[in-house]
Amino acid sequence: MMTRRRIRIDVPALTRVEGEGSLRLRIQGGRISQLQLQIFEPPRYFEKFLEGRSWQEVPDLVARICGICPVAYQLTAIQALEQAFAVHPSRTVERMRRLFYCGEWLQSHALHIHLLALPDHLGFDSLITMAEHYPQEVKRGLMLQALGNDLMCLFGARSVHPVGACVGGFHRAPEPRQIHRLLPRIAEAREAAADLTRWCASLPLPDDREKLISVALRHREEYPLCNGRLFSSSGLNISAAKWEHHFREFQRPHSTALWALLEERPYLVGPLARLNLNLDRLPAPVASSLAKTGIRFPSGNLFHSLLARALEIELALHEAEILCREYRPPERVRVPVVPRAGVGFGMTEAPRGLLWHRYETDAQGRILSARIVPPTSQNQARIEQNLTASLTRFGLDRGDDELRLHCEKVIRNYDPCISCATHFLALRVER
Amino acid sequence: MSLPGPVQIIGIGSPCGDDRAGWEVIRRLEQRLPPGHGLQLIALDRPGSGLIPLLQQDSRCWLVDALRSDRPGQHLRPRPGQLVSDPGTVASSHSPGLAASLRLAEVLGLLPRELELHCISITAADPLADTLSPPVEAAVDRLVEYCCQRLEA
Repeated sequence: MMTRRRIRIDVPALTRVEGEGSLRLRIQGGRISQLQLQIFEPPRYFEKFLEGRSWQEVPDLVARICGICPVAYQLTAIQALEQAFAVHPSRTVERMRRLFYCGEWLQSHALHIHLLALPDHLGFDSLITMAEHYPQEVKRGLMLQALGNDLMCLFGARSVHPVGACVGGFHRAPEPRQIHRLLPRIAEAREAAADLTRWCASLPLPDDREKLISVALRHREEYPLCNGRLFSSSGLNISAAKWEHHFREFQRPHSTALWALLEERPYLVGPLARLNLNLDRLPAPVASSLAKTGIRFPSGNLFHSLLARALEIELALHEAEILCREYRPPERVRVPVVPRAGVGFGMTEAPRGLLWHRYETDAQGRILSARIVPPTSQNQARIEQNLTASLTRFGLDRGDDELRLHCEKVIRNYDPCISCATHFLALRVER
Repeated sequence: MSLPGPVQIIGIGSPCGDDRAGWEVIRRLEQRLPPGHGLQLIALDRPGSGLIPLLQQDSRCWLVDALRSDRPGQHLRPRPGQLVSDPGTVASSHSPGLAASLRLAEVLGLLPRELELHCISITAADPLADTLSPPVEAAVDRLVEYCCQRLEA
């Protein structure tokens, strides 16, 4: 007897394809015959919108790509344009940018763990229901997220689509007292974050181990946020300018978001990939916190992404505390910029993973062409590969609701900016 | 100010045209109220994660937000339970909306002792507009006047 199942998932708000997607799953003869993560939202054409615009407009325009990780888009674009114009911001500005980025990691990771992923792992159908049983944990998430937002506001004037960063530096520098006022909150948050890591390590996460290729930046001294070369667990070590030599973006008929492959293979970007490739760059207190969990990294268990996010919250707070203590306003908050014709590349680690930009400018600094490769599209092939293997391990003969919930867990685990609905998987079975 | 106890007025909004109504109310109150007024006036850009930690349980809190309607420029005072909460927004990666945030605050025991919602109806949040439309502009002025009268009564 042939069994045919069709599962549809409504997945609004993918980065760059912001809106709805679905999952099509066909099971025939006890095997998966078709599995497609379908993104059907029209493309947003940001790269095309940027053409003809002045270099000065780019940071604020690209910030509009995502409400959760606008800092990543801004700082990656700025890095690329500074390379194109041979602009070198001061060391102090680099430190300010790192602190700005710590705020974004903090708010994004705290949101995902507490509000989006935990209901899955604790067996609740909504955040509200979970909050009735785990109020302290939800309050912790809100506290961490609020602190991250406040850090972003310091440098960006607001946390949603901030406007403070520019090519060459910032429009203004915060007063030291504004920065130092955050130190007691950061100290309190560090304790909460250490608890969070221990708690996440104790959760009954599914054992979803796979052989995977991790791709992330590596910096010569520190855990990567804004700088570094691109590494992979398969031996890659390249500059941003070489990305196009090794990665290929292409269109799939069932998705309006471009896919990407590394030398024709799916790969993982995001917290787990970063941690897998940067264990030796963890500051001692954070490395100690990880060691106490007893969980070994590098890990091929995709659900260890949750623990990696918790650990990166600890890291962001550790870094933020140091950067705040050391903060002195720069003598020049931005260096002069003289635009010129050229090509520049940028890559940073957005909360969800590697973000890569390329811009070509004319002599006045107008954008001739732009290319933006966000993390979620890079993970699409990996998500489909993961779903196929994970569902097979889970058992294809399970009930429809169990299958649906498992698919949701697997997809949401990537924090793909598609978790806008608690029950985003609408299931229809045809037998 | 004559109201007893701490008073918070929180304006929720975005830079997008009429959606900045909540921010405008706060900005105009800051201009209108005398120095040392003792009120907490906050312009907020993200209701979920930003709002809940700000709520003070021992305060009177007036929340000002835009509300989508076919008839722009009205001052509406819904009860929190009347706000339509899309279940999907509770776990949105773009943060819970106002209704879900207030429900979450209630579950967590974080609602202020008195909460009033003051909504100004708008037809849409226009990302390309940086000013208010005439009906919303007038409604903002009326709400500011209303707040001042109550605060000074």
